[in-house]
Amino acid sequence: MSLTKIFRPGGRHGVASHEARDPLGYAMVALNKLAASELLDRVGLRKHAEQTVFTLTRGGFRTATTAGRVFARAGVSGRSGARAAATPAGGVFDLTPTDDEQMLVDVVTELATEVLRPAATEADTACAAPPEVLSAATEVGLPLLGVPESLGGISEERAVMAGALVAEALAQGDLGLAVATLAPGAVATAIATWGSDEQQRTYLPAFTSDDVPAAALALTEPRPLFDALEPATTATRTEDGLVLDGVKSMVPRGAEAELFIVGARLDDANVLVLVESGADGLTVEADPAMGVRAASLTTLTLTGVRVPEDAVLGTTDGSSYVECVRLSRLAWCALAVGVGQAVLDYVTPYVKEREAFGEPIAHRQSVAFMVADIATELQAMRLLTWKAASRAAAGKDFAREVALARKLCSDKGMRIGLDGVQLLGGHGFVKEHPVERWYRDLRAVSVMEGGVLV
Amino acid sequence: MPISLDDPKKLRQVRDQAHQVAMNMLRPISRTYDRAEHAYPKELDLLAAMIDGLSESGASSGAGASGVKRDEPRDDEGAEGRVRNGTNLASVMSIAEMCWGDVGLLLSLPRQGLGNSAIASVGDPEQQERFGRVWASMAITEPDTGSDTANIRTTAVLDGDEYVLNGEKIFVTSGERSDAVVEPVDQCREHVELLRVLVLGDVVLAGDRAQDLDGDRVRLLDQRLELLGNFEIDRHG
Repeated sequence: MSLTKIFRPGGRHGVASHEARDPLGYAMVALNKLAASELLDRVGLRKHAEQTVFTLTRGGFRTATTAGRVFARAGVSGRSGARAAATPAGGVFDLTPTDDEQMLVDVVTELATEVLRPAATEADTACAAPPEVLSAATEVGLPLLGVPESLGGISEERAVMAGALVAEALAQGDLGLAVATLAPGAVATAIATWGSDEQQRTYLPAFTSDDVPAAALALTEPRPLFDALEPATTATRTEDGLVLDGVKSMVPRGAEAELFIVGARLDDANVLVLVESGADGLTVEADPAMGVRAASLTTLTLTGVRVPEDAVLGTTDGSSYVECVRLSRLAWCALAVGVGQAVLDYVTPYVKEREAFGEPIAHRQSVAFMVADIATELQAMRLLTWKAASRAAAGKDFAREVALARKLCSDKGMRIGLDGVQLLGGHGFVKEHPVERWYRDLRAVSVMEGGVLV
Repeated sequence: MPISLDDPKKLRQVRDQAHQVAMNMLRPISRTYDRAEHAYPKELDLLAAMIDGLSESGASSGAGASGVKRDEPRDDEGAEGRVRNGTNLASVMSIAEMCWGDVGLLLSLPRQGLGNSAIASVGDPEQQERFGRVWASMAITEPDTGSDTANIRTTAVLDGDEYVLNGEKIFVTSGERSDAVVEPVDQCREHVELLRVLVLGDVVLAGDRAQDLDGDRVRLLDQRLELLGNFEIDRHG
């Protein structure tokens, strides 16, 4: 057995092989050997040894603390062009939105309560968002949330956290309308985040004007076991640019959209491609779904659509595409949290007021536990989503965090939708109460890619 | 300050230290004391001495049983905002790491008993001074009362300047080993209020109203401590 093997902690006592000892760890090993020693007891030195360890540790670790407090600045990596800066890391655990974020959330909450919620039932039936809802959303600046000030937007820093908080607040009103109002912003945010100077100057002025175009981020495809990282839509290089072929589904407001960002495979890597709605070979058809109906979901078919080579948004090595998929999933997580909160806020008073067998149904443990489970899982969903969002905003790696958030938000989001219906009994089944719509909407979280972005 | 759920910079060192301790001290003896359930894990004495040292040096960021005292908001070094009750997070993070090592051994750490937390959180300055270095268990569970702590039957009846205690407690973590036991009891027959009482040898010190009642039952623990009979006690507080 080699020396390194002897000193490595892994492989014994259930410790994983990747674990490594630091100097403190080696000291611990020695200390443990000493502590287990019978000799200490035989010569009556145990108390003395404890005193020695106490004194040594008290002195020894003071240096370690001072050294540990030097803050390594997690700054912005050298991105060129007009990019929103990463949010500076605060270094402390903090669950309180900043003043600016809270102000945004307050405004959007009002919009969700007073505009989205009252319009939700009709919009769901009509499969369309009413113009007054869309214009109210534009008025509060939703499309500009992810666009930095230097490009005419409203954010000073990369507004991923603010975007997540806004999506959450908006979805408390209605998920379908939230997706409809956030869809143009997804495209604007993508252009601000990955666009070249030319792309930003070409497209962003439209989004910062009074007449914001409908636009859609199209990533989902209609096939079994669809994997967002394996799009079947292709971009082929030709002498005069790229040719796009493929089908994208569940594209919000595709029929009225003036600009699409389409995910496609180019030279064995995934890319985002800007496609203007006038392009030849581009067809759109209505694709009404079980939920998210107010977002007017459509299928977008690309048949030999020609775009210039510089229509590629961001990198051609797949990194922009995968970041886009993650940020989109993050937005869906935040939306799921918002709908989950709406369910909880609706069922809590309902189970206390609804009486059966001579008492409020909340007195039944099967009911009370269900509500408690909703509250518990919802908070877990929110914390995972916030963690992913805060890391993304700070420019840190957030792949793992967003994967965990998506897993929980898909599974528990659907569960919350189901239990919301169950708690209302027969009332849950009818359209008189919004829980059946929330149930249908929450099914979308696990199947949707794209559409929204933070 | 932006929202952040990452381990705070200030506490990463505490977390990593606890991880090393768990890996190199607790894991190697975990099996041994799981089998020898009631044997005293003597290795922990040295570890406890080290934790006392860390705590005195400030390197533990207040983690540990005595760190639960609610502190005033303070300016945190390197952070613009005010950090409140940071010691709670320090404790949670180090306990999680130590439990990765061994739950039973973590609960058996000398001078890190739940009773120590009770003294730290609700004891008056004089009590904290007096009992700062003792090892205090918490005795809540009774033979007929588990989680329903509002219905415990152990009583403390005021007799002159002293309380007289009667009752029985079970599942007392480290009860055989600790120097003192903190125990919630009924103050009187028409009780509504729980009274927290510190039993030190045969001396009892009445504390504040009980909060955060909790109990643990884990292997490696001594499971029964009887308080039958009268304890003559000083009245306090």
